[in-house]
Amino acid sequence: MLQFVWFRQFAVVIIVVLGIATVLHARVVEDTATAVRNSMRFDVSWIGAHGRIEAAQLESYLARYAALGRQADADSTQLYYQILLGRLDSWDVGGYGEFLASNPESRRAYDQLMNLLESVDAEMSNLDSTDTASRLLDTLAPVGAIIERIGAEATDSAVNKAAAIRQTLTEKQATQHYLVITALISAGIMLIVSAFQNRTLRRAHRQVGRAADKFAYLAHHDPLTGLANRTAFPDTHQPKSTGASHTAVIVFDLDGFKLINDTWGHMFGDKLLIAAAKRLEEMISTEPGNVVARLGGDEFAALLHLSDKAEAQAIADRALEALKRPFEIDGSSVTIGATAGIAISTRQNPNVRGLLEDADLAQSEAKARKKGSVSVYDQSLREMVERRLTLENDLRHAIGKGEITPHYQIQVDLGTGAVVGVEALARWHHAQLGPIPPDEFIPIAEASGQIVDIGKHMIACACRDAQRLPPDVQVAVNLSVIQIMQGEIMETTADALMATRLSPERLKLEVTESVMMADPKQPIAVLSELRYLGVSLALDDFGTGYSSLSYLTTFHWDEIKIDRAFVRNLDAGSIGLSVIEAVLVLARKTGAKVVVEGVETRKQLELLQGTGCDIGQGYFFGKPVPIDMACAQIREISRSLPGQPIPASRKARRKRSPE
Amino acid sequence: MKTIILLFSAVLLATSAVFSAALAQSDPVILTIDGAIEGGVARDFTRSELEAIGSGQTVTGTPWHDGSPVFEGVPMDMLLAHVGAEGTEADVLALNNYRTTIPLSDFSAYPVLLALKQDGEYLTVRNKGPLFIIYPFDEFGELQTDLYHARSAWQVRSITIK
Repeated sequence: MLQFVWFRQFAVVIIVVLGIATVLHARVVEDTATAVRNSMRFDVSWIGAHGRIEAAQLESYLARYAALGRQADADSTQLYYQILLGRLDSWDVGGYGEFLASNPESRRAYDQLMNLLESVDAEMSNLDSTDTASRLLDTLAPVGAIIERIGAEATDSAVNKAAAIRQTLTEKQATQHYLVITALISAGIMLIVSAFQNRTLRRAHRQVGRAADKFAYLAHHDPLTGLANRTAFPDTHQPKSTGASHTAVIVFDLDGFKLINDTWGHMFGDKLLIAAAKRLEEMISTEPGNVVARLGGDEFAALLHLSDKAEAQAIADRALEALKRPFEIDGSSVTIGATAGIAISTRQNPNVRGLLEDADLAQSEAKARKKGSVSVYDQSLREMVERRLTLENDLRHAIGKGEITPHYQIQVDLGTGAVVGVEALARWHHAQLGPIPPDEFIPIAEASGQIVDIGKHMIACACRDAQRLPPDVQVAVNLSVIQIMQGEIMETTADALMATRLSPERLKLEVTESVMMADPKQPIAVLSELRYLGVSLALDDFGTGYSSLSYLTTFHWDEIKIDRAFVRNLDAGSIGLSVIEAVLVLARKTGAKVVVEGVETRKQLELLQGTGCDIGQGYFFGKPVPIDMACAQIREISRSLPGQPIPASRKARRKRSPE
Repeated sequence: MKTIILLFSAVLLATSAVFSAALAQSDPVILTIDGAIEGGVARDFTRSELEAIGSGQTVTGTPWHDGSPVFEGVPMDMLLAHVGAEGTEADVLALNNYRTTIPLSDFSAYPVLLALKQDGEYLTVRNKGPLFIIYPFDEFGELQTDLYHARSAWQVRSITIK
């Protein structure tokens, strides 16, 4: 930019110089013209020369008349006398007059000449004899010499003046010359600088153009892979005139990329992304109009033009297969998978942005369901996701609004039929959506971390409600893994017990075996502290997941709850019964009671009673109900009890326990 | 009576002859035009003849006069039209044998005068008469050069059209 400022100043200077040169030149030209005019005015020698000739003519005719006496010569003499006088008259005016005025000697000579000539005027008028002529010849003898003298001086003066004028002219010409040279040089420099400036400007212009192109490219492309970016992706859609009736967007998300990036480094990760992008590009960009874009991170998208809906699924499958093949990077072989979501439109002018959103949604759903799978977007998927989002949002305020409350399911001693405990189960009654099933909102709460608050709330409620139950009835509350890991559970439990003055042994905390899976040291420490507090601890849902028998022995559980899956198809001699019996053996060794869940029929009850399980829980005894109803159930059972076996009249419910 | 009339006539004739001779004496030929003119024969003009052709006036300074005299005379274009000049230039010869050539186009471009009078007085030889070619120098600045000064012949005696 400095250059431009400099150029402007320079241009102004040059223009000023040119302006001055022009003005000066005009003035010098004017001076020169004046000098030339002067030179004309002072051309006196020319007039002088004529005077000499005319004087000579006069003398000549006078001499001829004196010698020959011819009248014609007399006439000519008279004529030339007048001519000479006329000539000399003109010497006293104009340029010659100025000369005479400035040369006193010539002036005197001129006056003398005029006096001399005018003194013979009368004789000249009456020139009638040769004698007179001879006399006049003598009288006028000096005329020639005087004229010569004046002429010579006039010539001298004229030559001097001409020299002075020439000198002036030469000087003016030199000045003009310098001015013209200055102007020419200035103009030349201006031209050169302009040319240079033009070149600089052109170059700058080209640079700006290139930069603009580059920015435009950067704005629409992913710098790493060179693919279109998320911004540009929707604009890449070109409605095709023939063939394709469907437009599909497939979103691919690499599985486990973050792990590879973290373990192998970003450079490696970038190379993997480039290789994956190349593979996708080769797969997808086989048809004109098909586009692959990198949406960001390890997420890619493909825009396809298809004639059949099923093609999208096939292409997504093939792409996933291609991505599963090992990548060779820096001499290492790395394998990665991907999950895909598809959205298809049959419209002539599809909303690509909307399709991308839908495919993204389908992809998220597929990933939640099973990594490496493909999911096709449909309306129910959107509703599901939207419901999930709504629940996720509303869950934040659900406890505050009192929408989450515990329901209690009774636990019965299989030997005596007496109620020995209740399990508190969280229930959410959404103001608009009604009851939300626990298996829908618990995973959401776990994912968002709100399970901690819900757990806290549940413990507090359970401790409060336990006061209304008979003193020999325990209250069980489920703990999530997060609560154990977070470490607040001790404080939460102690606070709840203190606030309600509930005896700690009446509180039972249930944890699933997943607590023990990663590193059992920390959970065991937490559980030990809780045990120290005096609360009972139960291992929940045993038999699902990894079900390592070591979990039974690494901690001294008060209870082991066998998953309802083993009870569901409980028949004599079945594997389920054998497992229950085996667990019973182990539990007896550690001193833990065994609780079976999901008891729904009398037959199941009888089989379980046969194995010697301690406690049963399920619809056969009662479904989870609010505390008031739970109290009523307990009262009813204890009334019908004293030593009586469990009434067989209770009908089994076909519905599966919602726990 | 007849005799008287005859006598009177004779006297009258004689008188007119004498008178015309006297006229010839006081009104000499002052200009001769020859060359490419109508009829091809040289024509002589006296002062009164010239004055009869037409008259014009120019007030101008010259290098040979002080101030700006009033010149009167025959406009050159009228004179040339009068003689039916059919050439491109005029060779002008003066009493002092000065000779100059003037393109005829000068006379259509400028009101050039063949002056007979200066400030109301007839030009004498001493006053560069009897005829003086006067350009309107003051009116047309471009005429103030040697070229036109040289064409401004004085004491003009004859003109030859070529």
